[in-house]
Amino acid sequence: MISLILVSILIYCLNIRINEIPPLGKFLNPYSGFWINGEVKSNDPLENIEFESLEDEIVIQYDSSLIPHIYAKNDKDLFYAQGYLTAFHRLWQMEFQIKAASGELSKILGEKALKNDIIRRRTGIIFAAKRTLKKSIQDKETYYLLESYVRGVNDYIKSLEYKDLPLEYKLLDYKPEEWTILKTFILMEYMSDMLSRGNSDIEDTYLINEIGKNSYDNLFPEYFEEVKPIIPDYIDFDFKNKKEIYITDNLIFNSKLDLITNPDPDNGSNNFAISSNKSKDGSTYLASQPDLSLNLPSIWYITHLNSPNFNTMGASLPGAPGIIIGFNDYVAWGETNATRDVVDWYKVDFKDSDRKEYRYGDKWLKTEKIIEEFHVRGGDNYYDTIVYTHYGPVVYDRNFGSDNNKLNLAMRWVAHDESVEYKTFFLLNKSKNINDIKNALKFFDGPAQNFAYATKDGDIGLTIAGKFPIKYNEQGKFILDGANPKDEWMGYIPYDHVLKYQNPESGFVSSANQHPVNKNYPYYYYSFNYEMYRGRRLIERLESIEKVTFNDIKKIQNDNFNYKAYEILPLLIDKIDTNLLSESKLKYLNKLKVWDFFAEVNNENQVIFNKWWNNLYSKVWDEFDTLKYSYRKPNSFRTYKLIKEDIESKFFDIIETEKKESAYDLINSTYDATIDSIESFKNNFSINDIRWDIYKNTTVNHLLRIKSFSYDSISVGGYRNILNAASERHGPSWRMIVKLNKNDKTEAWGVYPGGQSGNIGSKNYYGDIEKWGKGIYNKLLFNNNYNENRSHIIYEKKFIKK
Amino acid sequence: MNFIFRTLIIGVLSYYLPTFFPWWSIVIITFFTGLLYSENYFSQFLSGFIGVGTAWIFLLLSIDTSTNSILSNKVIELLNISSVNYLIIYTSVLGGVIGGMGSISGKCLRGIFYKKKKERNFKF
Repeated sequence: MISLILVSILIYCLNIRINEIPPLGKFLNPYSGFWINGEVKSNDPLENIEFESLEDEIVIQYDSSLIPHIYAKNDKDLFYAQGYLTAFHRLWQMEFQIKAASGELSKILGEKALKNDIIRRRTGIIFAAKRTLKKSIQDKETYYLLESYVRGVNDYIKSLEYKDLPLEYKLLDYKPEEWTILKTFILMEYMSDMLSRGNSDIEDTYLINEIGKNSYDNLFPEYFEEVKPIIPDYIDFDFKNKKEIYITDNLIFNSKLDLITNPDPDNGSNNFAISSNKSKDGSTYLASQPDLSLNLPSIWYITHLNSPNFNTMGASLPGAPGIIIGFNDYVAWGETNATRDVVDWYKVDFKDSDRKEYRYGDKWLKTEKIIEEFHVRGGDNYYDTIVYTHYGPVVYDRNFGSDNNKLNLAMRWVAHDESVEYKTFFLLNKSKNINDIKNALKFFDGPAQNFAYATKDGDIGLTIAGKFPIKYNEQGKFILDGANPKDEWMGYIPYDHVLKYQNPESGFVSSANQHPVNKNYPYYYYSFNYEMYRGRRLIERLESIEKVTFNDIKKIQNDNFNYKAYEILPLLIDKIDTNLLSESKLKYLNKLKVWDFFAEVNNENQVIFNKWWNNLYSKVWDEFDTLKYSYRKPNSFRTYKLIKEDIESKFFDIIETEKKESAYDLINSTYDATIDSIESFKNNFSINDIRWDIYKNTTVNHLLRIKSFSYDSISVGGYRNILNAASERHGPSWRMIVKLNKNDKTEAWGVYPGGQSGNIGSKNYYGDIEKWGKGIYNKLLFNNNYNENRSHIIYEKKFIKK
Repeated sequence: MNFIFRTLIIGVLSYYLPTFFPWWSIVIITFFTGLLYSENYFSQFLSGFIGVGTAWIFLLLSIDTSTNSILSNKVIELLNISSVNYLIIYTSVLGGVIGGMGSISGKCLRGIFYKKKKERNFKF
């Protein structure tokens, strides 16, 4: 009897997860354990596709890149199948992203995820998603397409037994939950969180308190005249708006907040469209390259959707219906992030410690409290009370981030407003001309994007679409006073006044996250994080080529020209005292002198420049490290200007030392130190040259950061601030080029660092990572009739109504 | 002969049956063989261990070859095991131990029945 109990206990133990270790018996057994997730040739997983609720017959094909081509007879079936097939390859990722965004990870990962969860709940992601859902489903058409997608995802989930679950579920030992329309909206808020939450208001309020407004303005200019804006200077605005000038009292503030980390400042992209006059073959071209954190499974899933209303293809977001960056027979479109300050912080004065009322002008307004419950795996439930004001949630208060009981900061974020983004994409996906596109973009509130587009008719254009608050000068650059009604946003820029232009004489439109426009634009705009190099390189490249070909476009997307080095390095080399250099150091310097500034995979000069610059940069701004809180430092372009225009600046002095250092001292000593470390690195590994790709080690990480599920040492050039923006963990997440010609079928090429299948046991899991690194594209299979695909497909099946 | 026959039954059943039942149904198989055959504890354990263990080795080898070890190579890194062969051996030993324990449990229960029967016989 004891033995029987022992066996039962043993099996029970092998069936549950103890301390991060997967349930060994359940995970390892050969019948339903992880082994079953390996894909077997003789038993193609695609054979398991089975649709439960179709209205009509539907044809599914997969091409050799594992891209699904869905040919449906009506839109409901189309989006039903999109939901089903996306889940088929990406279910775990879809659900995990939503759990991460909505603050429910600790339910799966335990206590270590609790901090992330609290942040997500406090920034009001679910609150925002619920409001957007409520508004969006009032539109019947949008609702039934979303509903079909959700049904497709759920039919797939229902078809799964334990042994069929994606590996990550077995590893972490949990089960997929039902998909909902709300989750699809949380995905949109997840994108907002990634793209529009960035701000530096609190940090900068601290800075002006410490270094004064004048130094602050000097060191952190809003943008640089040297950088060309997205909207060219020759565009005039025929509308007026009186820019309010209103001076608020700056808040006295020098406390330490445990700040929520900003999204990756490299989240950016580039896109451009070429008109038929500017291209060699008379076609219009659209190129789009979104730079995001590089993950496996990839953030994108490529899909082709075909029904009587739609024939569209491109990158979709797993969890969202439709195509986000793509094309159809008539038009093509691509987005880059329109960096803009759409988050502001309001200091809230509560009447008392009950926090039921807060001051607003001469009144007291009522708050609303929401108690958030967190299920923590292997621990007790955690509760967090979040106070909502009319601005939004009070993120920093006595329970979070603040060491000072009196400081309460409410977050005002455009993403909290109700909106209807999915409508934009449904309309874009079936646009036939430039007017359809412009109409679709009307409904797009955010995260604000620079939409570049091209049409078969030969039109090109760019719209900076999104909901932008009207602000007085410098409003929201710093913490605002929540008790002062004058600090309230003054409405939103009307759609007619949103920045856009089309068919310019130059023959192209482009954007790369630089500032949107010059100061003639009658509205105040601001971001702490405009890009300064990629946009210039892009515009200069496009201007320099008289007639653009497909190959030129490919070259531009993969361009490794280091504009920063081109600008700064000659200045630095100039200041090196060659008399003091050893022979080997002189040799390195001479090599740098003849460098063409391309950060190619095997280029050692790029390694030296990168190291030298980082070294110098941190020495120049060491003054900031002596502040009580070293929140942020001037950017690289400001540093370049300091070296170029203000060589006597006091910032070149190193505070730690008694000596008064000059710029010359710093440049020489950092060069010395850089070469020393390069040489000792070479000696340690006994190598003659340091390759740039190996040095930077671009890696695509699995979402759980499990090393053996990730892919490192990718051979790819480029870096941040370079058009081919592949840095250590970040880079072009999808490269797409579309050719539209009146007399031809639409043609398109694309590649992304990952595979369509999210199954770690699939040979497609890493997909085209190597090809992507080398800048090789796949021609995308795009036909209106599935019969024409036949020679390129690996799977075809017709499903009929059950 | 009895031992070989028993081990074979366990092997064959645990190769096929658990595809349709939960993975731990191997215990039920070995439990019943333990119950049905009167053998000593050691022989019982050994037949369960070898039966299930061998079945698992064959299963795992066939899965791993047909999937080109794509997945198992990643999992060994995760579990900090040096090679796929070890992973297969460890897993099979795990299966064997569970199987063997099942047999012993069956044997124990049989022991209880058998004793009771004896007592009853004695009374009559």
